[in-house]
Amino acid sequence: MAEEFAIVLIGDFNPKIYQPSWFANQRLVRQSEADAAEVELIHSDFTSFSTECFVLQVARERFSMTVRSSAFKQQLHDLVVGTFNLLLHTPLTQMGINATTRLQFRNDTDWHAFGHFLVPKSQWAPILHRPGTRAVTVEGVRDDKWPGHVAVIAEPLRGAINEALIRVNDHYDESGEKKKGQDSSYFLEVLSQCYDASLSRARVIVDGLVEKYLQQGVFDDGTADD
Amino acid sequence: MGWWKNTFSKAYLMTGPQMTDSPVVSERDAARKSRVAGFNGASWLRGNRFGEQDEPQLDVTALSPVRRGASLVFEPPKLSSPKVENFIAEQEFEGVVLSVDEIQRTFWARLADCTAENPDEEAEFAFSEIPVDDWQLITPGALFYWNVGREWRNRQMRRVSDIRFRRFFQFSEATVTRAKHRAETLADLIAKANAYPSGDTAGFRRT
Amino acid sequence: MPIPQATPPDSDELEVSVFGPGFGESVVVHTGHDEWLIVDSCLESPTAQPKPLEYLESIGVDPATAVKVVIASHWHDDHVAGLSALLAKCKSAILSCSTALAQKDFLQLAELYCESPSRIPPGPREIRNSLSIAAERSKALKRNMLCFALENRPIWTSAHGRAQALALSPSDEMVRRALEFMARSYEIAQSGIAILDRMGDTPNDVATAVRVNVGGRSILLGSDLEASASPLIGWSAVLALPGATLTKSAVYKVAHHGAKSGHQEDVWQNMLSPAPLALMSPFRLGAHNLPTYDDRQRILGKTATAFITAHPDKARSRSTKRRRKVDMLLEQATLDRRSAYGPVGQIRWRAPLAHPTNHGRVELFDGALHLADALAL
Repeated sequence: MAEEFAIVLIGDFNPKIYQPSWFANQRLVRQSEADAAEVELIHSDFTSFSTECFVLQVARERFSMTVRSSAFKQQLHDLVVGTFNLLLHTPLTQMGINATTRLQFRNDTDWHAFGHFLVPKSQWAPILHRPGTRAVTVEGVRDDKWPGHVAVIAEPLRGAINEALIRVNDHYDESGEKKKGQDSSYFLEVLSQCYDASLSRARVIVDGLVEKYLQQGVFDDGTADD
Repeated sequence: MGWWKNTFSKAYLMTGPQMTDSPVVSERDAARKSRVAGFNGASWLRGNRFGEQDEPQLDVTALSPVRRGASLVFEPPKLSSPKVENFIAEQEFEGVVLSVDEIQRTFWARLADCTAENPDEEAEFAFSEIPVDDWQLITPGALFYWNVGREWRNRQMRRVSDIRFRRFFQFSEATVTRAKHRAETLADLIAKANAYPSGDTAGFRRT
Repeated sequence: MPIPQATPPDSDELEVSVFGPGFGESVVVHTGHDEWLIVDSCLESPTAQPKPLEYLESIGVDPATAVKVVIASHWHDDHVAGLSALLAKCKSAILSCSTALAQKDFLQLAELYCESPSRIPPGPREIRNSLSIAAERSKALKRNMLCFALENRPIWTSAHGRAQALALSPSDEMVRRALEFMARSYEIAQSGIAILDRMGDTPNDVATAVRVNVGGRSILLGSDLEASASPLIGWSAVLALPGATLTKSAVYKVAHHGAKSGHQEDVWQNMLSPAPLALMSPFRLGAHNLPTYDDRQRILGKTATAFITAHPDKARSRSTKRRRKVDMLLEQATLDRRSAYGPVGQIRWRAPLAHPTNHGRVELFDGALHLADALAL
């Protein structure tokens, strides 16, 4: 089960708009939620605040909204769609629907084995002394009609013991047919059609990866006999 | 490309732990067997929370720009953690309000189980279960989500019930167009059906 | 001697069976000679077969050939649960529903409901899917497998002409109102307000009441048609139809679950035989149980032979059992919680076609009871 969901948009934003009070005035969030928001910064170059269920960071070229539970994934969708329905003229060029899952291994051995599963070490052993996997990114072509790609990033969790993160980035590029006065409508359409499918895809990817890992049993740690 | 590149990931790339190991050859098989024996299903494998220690610290970075070579660069603050550190939903429902009793301040709702394939349920809620902000949204037909699960705040866990009314629900233009188109197709099919002799056993026909 | 439930009627035996609630209500009519009608659909659980299908198969009837018409009396969830699955199995059946449901206003709204990520309500989806099945079937068979109901319009006539189903509603005015409502709902659905189910809180302007005439008898199936003061809608419009009161029905599927809103005195006085056989299924939603105690008394004042498929006040099935701590929290957060589904009771009436004055025989299964027994819990 993915623990963190995020929608990231690349475009042209005015960070100062995205204040808690704006969301409340537009009835996209509860007034009490907006009042209780923890604001880090509201500035024409960068806005960052968090509420009970989401974190928002907006820079001039990047909008990122994150929730930390599957319980709020629909809120995430509604907030982003609601926001950009109101700000329809915001030019957007890319979108990512991202899901992050945390894996906890029972012990060191299993954790190392996961690294060997991701990157078999035989090719590296002659080159590096005691090679280890730090992070792996694999990108695949989309199997639907939308331009973009799907990337999977697996990496150990910093500061944690025997834990790793798998992030699935479902990336959408803008349509090849340029719309006049490029706005949010294309990505809103993608979001409405693809959100559930993206999250399902992320689950399938993570489940598939974990299942293969569990089935494998024997891992190439680079110490095989010649 | 690179919407996902951010200081968060970069920090991991720069300073994250390495996965290393080199059991002695003669112990290699034993080590592998140990790894194999360690697996007995995924239930232990999935983590269930982001611990506070796992996140970059909530540094207050300089808000004024810093010099890099000939440039002044603005350094945005790092990702902040929401108050609710994590919420693991153990049961998720999608609900629609069926009826509202303004006098008793209660409402009945139909609930679809989003966690497992269980039959729909019907439940009566008191308004007091709903945040006051959402009371104006309690009306027949209104949609909401009801999540029950474990919440971590300040490293303490407690079980909570969270009801959130959907505040925005809109079909996109393309969805509306698609629905219109399919409706037209079905209407055409129905109209064509009317041209055939009646499927009624006695041959009565209606349009 | 009681006849087992899984015993088919004789070829020359008339049968009317009412099922409910489970989730929903359904009526099954055998007009003789292995010809069956089904009105609405209900389910015992979301994964179960529609109850009418289950019953027919249990008595050895092949729904693919024997069911001649499936009538969707309106779109409310509690009448169409499983309807499209039912129609798909009844391969020879025509589909009948209000003519309003064939219009673009409804079809557009239903398609939007199909696009909705929400799982509820299913009513419009079921109607839309059923229309699609029937339209495709028409195309394949080169026969019109759709018959839209409008007041005083025949829906179906049996092969030998001995039985006929006649729609008594909706009236033109009801159709007009229904289309107006659908157009408004369609506008609202596009406006961003998170209110999806606008179908439930309006009068039943698409309710299709049907009279089945067979072998000198008449059966009145009241759907959820409501009483009204206006002669243009509801039961008033039906009573105003030419010939409406010439035939007296001896069997009456009571309108709107016996509720006062479905009761019009003139229907009992002028459209029904004295002391008719009254059949109904309850509607249970929290505190709103129909028929109410007063409704039950009123109906029993009209006829002593009144039956109901389940006790209206009996608590519905308990909701799904989950992990103890989760269940505790669910209980704490709610005042009441029940499964939306439950056992389906059946009232079965059979009578010989050859003897129209024979009162026939009523059997009760799976919790169905005499309405008088429903006066006490």
